[in-house]
Amino acid sequence: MTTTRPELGFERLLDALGQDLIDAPDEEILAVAEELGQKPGMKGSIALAGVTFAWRFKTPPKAPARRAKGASGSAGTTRRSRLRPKGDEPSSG
Amino acid sequence: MDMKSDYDLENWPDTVERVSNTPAARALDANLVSVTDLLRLKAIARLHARGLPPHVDWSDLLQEAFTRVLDGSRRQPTAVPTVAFLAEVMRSIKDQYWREYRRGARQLPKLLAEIAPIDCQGSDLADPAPSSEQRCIALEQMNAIHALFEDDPQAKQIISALYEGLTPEETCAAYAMSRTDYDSTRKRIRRAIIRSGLRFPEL
Repeated sequence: MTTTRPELGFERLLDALGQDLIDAPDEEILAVAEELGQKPGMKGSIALAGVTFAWRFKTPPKAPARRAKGASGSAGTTRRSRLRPKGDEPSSG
Repeated sequence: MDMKSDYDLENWPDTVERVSNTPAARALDANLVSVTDLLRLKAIARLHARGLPPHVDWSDLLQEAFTRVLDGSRRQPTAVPTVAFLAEVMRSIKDQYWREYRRGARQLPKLLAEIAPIDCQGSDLADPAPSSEQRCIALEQMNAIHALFEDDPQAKQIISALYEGLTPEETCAAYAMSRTDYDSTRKRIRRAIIRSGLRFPEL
């Protein structure tokens, strides 16, 4: 790289790549979504997370109740895994 | 397209609320944009978000652009397609976020001095360079973009050329690249950027 000011060069790059996205055919956009296991046509598809729907905290999280050692039951990880909508698969890369 | 629901709302965590009536959703309902347009705009927002100040994210940028179009504060010229117009609105909002961020950063030492009258001069908080954080983010994100093309040296060359503002002809000459190679590499870059813009979870 040369003496280009980083913030200016970076903006120039983003503008060029942004224009590429504007020019990309619809088929390519949908093909990539499909590659990622997303189904944008389904209502509430993860493909449109942050776009047509979002999440927000409605109340401050409560302090977790103390649990007896070895207690069974679902933990946060189990619940969290269900945040993923049915029909969408997590992407790998 | 099939529009049946694919959410398991019964298992939604109690503390998290799903918000459906976003400005982008209203624009979709009003047929201002299609689902594919929204995917494209999401990828564009996530691309531009690489250069956002730390306190805002791509969704803020996208929803704010839709808000301004829907409330009429930004009017779309008839000759400009909707997606291109919204992309330009996002770009100008990004500039506005940075102006606000710099203004806040300039006021911080003064505010701190009012709270605790200590000598801030000479400390990091009194950094007079208005774009030092922007520069840091740019350098960090340039590395992140290069990392997307770790195994593609031609893509990295084109990324560097775009950063420098070279034309395709100048790029081909600088890197002894054929025009066919340039065009096909540019398509690979585009696909990788779309992929990066649609990936979930965000990485």
